[in-house]
Amino acid sequence: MTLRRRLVLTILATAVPLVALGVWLRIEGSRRAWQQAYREFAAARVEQWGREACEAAPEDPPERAFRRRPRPDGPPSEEALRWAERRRRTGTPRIGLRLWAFDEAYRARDPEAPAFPQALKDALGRGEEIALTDAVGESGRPLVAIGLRTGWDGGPCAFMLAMGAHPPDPPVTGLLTTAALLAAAFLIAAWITTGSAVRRIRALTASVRRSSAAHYETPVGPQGSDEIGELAGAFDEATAQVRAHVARVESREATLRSFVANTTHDVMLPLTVLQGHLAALQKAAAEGRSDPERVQDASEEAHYMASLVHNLGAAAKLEAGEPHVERHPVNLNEVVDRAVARHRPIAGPRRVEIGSAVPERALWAIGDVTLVEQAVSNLIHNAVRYNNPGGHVAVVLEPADGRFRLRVFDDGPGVPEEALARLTERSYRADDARTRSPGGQGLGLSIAREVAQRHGFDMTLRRSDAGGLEVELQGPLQA
Amino acid sequence: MPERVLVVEDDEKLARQVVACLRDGGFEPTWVKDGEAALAAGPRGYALIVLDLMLPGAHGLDVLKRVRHEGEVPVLVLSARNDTADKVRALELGADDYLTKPFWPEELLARVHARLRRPVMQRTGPIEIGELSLDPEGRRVAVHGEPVELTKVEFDLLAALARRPGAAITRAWLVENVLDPERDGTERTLDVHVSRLRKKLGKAGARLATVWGVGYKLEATA
Repeated sequence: MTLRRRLVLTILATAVPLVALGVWLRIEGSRRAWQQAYREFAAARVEQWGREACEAAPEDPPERAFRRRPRPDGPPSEEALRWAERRRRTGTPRIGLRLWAFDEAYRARDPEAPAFPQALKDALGRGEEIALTDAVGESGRPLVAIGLRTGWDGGPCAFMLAMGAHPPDPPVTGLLTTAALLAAAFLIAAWITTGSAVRRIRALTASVRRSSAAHYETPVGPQGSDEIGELAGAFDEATAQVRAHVARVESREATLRSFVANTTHDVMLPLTVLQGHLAALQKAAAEGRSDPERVQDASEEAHYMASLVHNLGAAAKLEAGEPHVERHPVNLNEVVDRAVARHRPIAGPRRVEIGSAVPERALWAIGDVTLVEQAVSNLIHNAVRYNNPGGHVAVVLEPADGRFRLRVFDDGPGVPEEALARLTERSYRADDARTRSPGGQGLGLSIAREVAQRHGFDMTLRRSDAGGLEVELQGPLQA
Repeated sequence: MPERVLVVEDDEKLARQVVACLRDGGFEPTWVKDGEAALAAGPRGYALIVLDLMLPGAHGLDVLKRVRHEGEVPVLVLSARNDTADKVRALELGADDYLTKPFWPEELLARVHARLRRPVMQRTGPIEIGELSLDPEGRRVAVHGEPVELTKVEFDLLAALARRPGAAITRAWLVENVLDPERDGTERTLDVHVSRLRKKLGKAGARLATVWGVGYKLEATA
């Protein structure tokens, strides 16, 4: 339903009962007015007759009430003028009443007198001085009958009955016509005044459609300072929120896309190298040659790829934040054993020896076992990868003053003092780490550092006694 | 007699590699494809179970739960996921160890050996390592049955290493726990004691290995 149609129906639903009420009040008002006039007139007529005249000749009331002119040439009596004025004011037609006198038993001396209506008898019996009722005359003419208690007790004039023609009903149809005209005027006025509001709402709808078609890039714009303007403002606010949300989602998607793209690239690189090695090995095998050096290279590449994927997983986990970093008891002895075992296969062919020691009773810390193991693994990986053939790597886990101390050190070329400081200072950033050789000192160490920070471990880098790099992790034991 | 190992792995290629690796390592592996078959195979008849968590049908963790219900066979879990929650859950459900894919055959063997290694003998019981025998209670050492005379420090040193065969012990620990702190308790003194001990043990002295940057260990294997 359109706004206008709804408005018209609302107006009709409100106006019709109101008009009906008005008409009824009007009719009722005029009825009361003429009834009152009749009562007073009847009383005046009784007064005019007088007790003595009535009791002397109760069957002979004065024929006509107030002559306009008592004498043909004289001025109208004061009484007559007063009644004329009153009729004019109340819109009552000229009143003509005939009087009959009744005794206390409602018997009339006049044999032609009508019966005293029962309704009037009842009303007077209840003690009313004067009562009025409708009656019907000969030939069905509507009459008004008025009964009065005169107060002249004992005589033939204890009660009076006055009867006269019923005044015509007021012009109801005229009233209704007026009311209908008024309602129509209202409707037209409403139609015209809502016109501008409807137009503005339509304009607002069009603006909103335009804005939505443009992916909410264009605002709806100001539309005035009233409720419609507020609506437009609210829509613009909602639009701004939608835009912000869409922007967030899009940027997240872009980050994810670039992460997947970069990861794919990072993994494809060693995979390509590995494929190359395998192809060469196939060829060598076909020619009956063995190529142990290339086998070693291929193994290292595979190992590097595994470490890279694990590091990318750890980076994603660290970037995702707290809820993804778990807190569980971690058996550090097993972490060291696993991380060392993982690197023996590539250290052996490189002629790098890994030695490790863990205390007889296992040390436990609280943390995320995947991340802690990855951190330790990265430290060992670095030590093996940047070592010389014939070099050594040592991994020592021991208790120290109620904490654990894990040292990974080597006798490789090590890192110059100033580079060491840089390695320590560099804050972890995935993008930053990506651009370096992942799994190497860039990503590997920064992940180890971040893992240490998340777990409340201290990580220190220094030159080992043997001249290589020494990384020490220290942290609280499980309580 | 080779120890029997049950391999529960749905991927055929990986299963073949694992089985080959275990056979090369001196075990007698049996491969089953899923959890149902694993339970049907009677897990109690095996020395160890290698269980892949990513099994089709029954999730690996359910299989683990049921295997645990059957008995105390050690379970080594293979997990492709770099997911801590999975590992922790597996350990809570009674897995003894886990190995994240990808892994080297040597890694697998190392973990299997670590799980099957008999609990280290009581401190007081006699220890036999190859040709070397050591009686902590009687403080006697013999190589090929021939008694070897050792000083108190030398004996304590050898006993400390023999208690954890194959495991490296740090110099610092040995200095603190074996050497007499009243006397010259330094790492240099330790090294002197070790070289004397090597000489006295003769052929068995080769078992006494130096671990670079760490300390010493007594090789368990020949």
